[in-house]
Amino acid sequence: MTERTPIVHVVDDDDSMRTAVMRVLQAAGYEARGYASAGEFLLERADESAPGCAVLDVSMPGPSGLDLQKALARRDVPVPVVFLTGHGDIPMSVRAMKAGAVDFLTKPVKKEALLAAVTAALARDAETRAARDRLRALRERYGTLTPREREVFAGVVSGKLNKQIAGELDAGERTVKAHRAQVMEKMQARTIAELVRIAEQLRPDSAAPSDPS
Amino acid sequence: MSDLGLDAPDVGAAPGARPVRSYAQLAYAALLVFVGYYAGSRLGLALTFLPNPISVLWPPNAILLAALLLAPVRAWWVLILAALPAHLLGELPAGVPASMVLSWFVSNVSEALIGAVCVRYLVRGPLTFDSLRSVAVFVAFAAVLAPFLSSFLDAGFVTLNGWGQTGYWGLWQTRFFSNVLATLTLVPLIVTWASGGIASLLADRRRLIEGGVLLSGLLATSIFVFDSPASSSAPAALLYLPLPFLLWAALRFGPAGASTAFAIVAFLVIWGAGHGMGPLVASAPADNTLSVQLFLIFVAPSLLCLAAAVQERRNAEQRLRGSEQRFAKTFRSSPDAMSLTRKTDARILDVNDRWQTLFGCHLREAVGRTVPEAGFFVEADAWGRIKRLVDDRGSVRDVEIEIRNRPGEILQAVIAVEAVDMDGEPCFITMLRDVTERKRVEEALRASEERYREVVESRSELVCRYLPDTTLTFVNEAYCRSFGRLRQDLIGRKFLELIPESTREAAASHVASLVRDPGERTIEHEVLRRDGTVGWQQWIDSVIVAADGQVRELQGIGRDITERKRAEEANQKLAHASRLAVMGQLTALIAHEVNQPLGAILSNADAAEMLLEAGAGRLDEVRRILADIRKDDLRASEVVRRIRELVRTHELERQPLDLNEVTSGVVQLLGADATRRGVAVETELAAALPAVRGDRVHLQQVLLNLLLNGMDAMAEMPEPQRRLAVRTASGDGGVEVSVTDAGPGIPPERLPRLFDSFFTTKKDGMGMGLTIARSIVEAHGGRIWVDGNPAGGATFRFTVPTEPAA
Repeated sequence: MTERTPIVHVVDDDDSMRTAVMRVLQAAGYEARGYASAGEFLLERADESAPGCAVLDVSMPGPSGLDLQKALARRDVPVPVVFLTGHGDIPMSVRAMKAGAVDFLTKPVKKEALLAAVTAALARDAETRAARDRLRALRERYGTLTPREREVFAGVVSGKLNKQIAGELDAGERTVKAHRAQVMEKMQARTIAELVRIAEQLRPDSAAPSDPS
Repeated sequence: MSDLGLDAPDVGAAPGARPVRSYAQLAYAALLVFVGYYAGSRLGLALTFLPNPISVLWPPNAILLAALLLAPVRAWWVLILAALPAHLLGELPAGVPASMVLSWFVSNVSEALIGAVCVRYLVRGPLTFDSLRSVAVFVAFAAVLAPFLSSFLDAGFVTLNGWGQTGYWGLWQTRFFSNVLATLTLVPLIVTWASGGIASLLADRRRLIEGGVLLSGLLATSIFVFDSPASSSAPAALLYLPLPFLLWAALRFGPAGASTAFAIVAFLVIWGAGHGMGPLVASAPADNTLSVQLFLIFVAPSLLCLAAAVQERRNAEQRLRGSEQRFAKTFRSSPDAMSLTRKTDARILDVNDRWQTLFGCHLREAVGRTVPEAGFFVEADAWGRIKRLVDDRGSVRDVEIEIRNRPGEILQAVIAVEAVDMDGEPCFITMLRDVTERKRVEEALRASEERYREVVESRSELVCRYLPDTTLTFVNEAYCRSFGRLRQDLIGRKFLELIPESTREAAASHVASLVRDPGERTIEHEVLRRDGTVGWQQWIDSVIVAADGQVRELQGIGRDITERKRAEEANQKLAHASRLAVMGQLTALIAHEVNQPLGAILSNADAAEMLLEAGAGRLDEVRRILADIRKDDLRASEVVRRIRELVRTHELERQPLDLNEVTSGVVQLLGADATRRGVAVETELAAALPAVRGDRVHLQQVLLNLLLNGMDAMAEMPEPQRRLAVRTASGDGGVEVSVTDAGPGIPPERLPRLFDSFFTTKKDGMGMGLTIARSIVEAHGGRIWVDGNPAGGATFRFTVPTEPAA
């Protein structure tokens, strides 16, 4: 995976404010892009896969910053959001934080606070991206398993003995043992415990093996 | 002898009251006594009918007596000492033995002293010879008793010294008569002349001529009778020839004239007799002496008495005339109307000028008429009543009476009547003072007082007077009502006690400042009523300054403003709450509007700092940043200014106003807030809207209220439905502004109370806004109301009258 420069997206209808915030970010060495409204951001954001975060104003003409946050959260790769508002009340900030905002800042904002929030947001983004990459690799490995191996996999991680699995699959104990070794190898798991953890990681995903029982 | 400085021998009355003015004067007096005494002794010797050693008239004793009578007692010893050398000088050369000379001096002095002491004691005041009493005292004690007593002494001395050949009784008799005559002749002469003499004579030419004629006649007759060679053979009856002149002097020229005339006659008689002339000359010198002495001694007292009697009467007359003149003067010039009326028949005898003016009646018309017939008194039996009053009490004082003057006017007068005797007839002096004007003024004053009292009592204003320590001295009915207290509970009480402690100090300093610096000042304060409630009063207080510039009392005119104060307080609460509500709504607006530029400024500054720290030399960028900072700063201050203008409280200030402009201004101001709340604001402004007359800020507040209310009403609606329409339209005589929201609308049962204070349909409890909005609109002469929309929501409308065409 190639390292790409993270982009900070600044969404604020106040041109002056937006420019100023972008200047601070740029001076701190970030790549910053500005948008005058939520719609503009959604339309013009070039590469959704690129790492980054968003600094959003709350009240803007059209969809508000909170609306935008909701929309972004539904994305495959959620963009960490830092709110920057001219007038923030407590209910509003609670709503924002519950919805997963990294921080809720009020204007005027000190550069330290802004940069710390952006750094945190980018770190979270990087973390999310790393987790997502790891999951994708696991899934790819899982994809290489045969249906029979998947059944054995499910049995193993649920703590069943080879004999039990064999009984359930109506197969020989030796066959099950062979499948189990195959699964361990394909999934790059050295121990059963490791395999269980991998299974846990795969589960939240829709593609994860769900026990029909 | 007034020249002596020893005049007015008043020592008997008040010893030492009139001191000898100085030692120089005393010395002068002593010198005069010395000279007089010496001259007297020479004269006495000259008048001695030789060979008889005793003088017909021995002056030194009399001269010393006169000096003592004229001098204060204190000075007597000096005068007596002064006489001693004169005595020695007069006697010694005559070859008299020294012991005899000194003995005589003792007897002489004793005579003078006896006379002087007696007269001083019995005649109070100066001896003036103008009353019979003083003449009698003088003759009895100074002229008779003193020589009588001292002559025993004298005769004794002569006998003891073996001087002369005459027997004791002979000596006594000779000396007695000689000294009586000398005293009678010389003392009145000296004393009267020393006390002014006949100085008055010189003032009047006719008197002077008369005096001259008298003197000539006296001299002529006396010389003819006593001193001419022919007189010796003249019949004894001629003796009385000078008598008419002596009487003339006594009658016309008083004691001084009489004593002078007598002295002249005495001198001429003695001189003539001494020279063997005149009707009194007989064979023996001693007989001659005696007859001359007796003749003169009998004449002198009668003459002095006559002069004194005449003088006494003349003085009494003069006094009477003086008092009469004074009375007449008073009567004529009195500022009061005076009349003189005979008691017996009530006939008017005299009236003064003021009387004539008062009655409009001339003296001629008044005098001779009787009081009842003249009809000067309105009361029919006024005269009878006055007469009875005078008979009862002797006089009438300050009795009010109505009088009628000649033109028939009735006047109010005060009368005083005094009973007097005029030429032996009982009369009344009547004094009238016109008090019509005073009465009228008094009446007017009383009427005005009454009117004033009525005004003060009946008016709804509170009136009170109080002392500088706030003790009430007067309160009116309204004052009592305001306190709910009785008047007797208030008078004499300090009103400070009736003021709650919280405002008592302010009231006390208000009074103190008035006393210090008099003027008129207003104060409002709370008062404690009897029922325990607290009321409010407003006062205009002023001071009442006495003639000496001191503040004696203060006066207050006040109003009970409890009702007004309560309404005001409610209103104030209302306005305050309303302002708070609007302010609360505005806070979000302000925060957003102001924080936007402030945020940009801070971030720009941060960015610039970072650029400079990086040292990348990007000065162009820094410059742009600075320009942006400046721009945002101005933006922020503009926002603050607009908001301040909006929330400023001020008086209604009407000016021609374009409501379109006002409306778009408010919509613009709320733009950001509307965005935040997700409300779409549509504005429809009528073209060519007439100007209204109104207060921009107040009308802005009304619109702001309606817009904020509208937005609040739609808070629960889905965002796309949050639409607020603001419209202006020109209507009948005014401009109508409407604000239509798409909220849930207002339930019909709430419509009637919508504009009442404290009524709100909103959860967060504002709602004062509409009350204020209504009061502002109504203050502009407009109307505000609300309509329900067919499509839901409410439409608030208000009108503002157009400005009348100039």
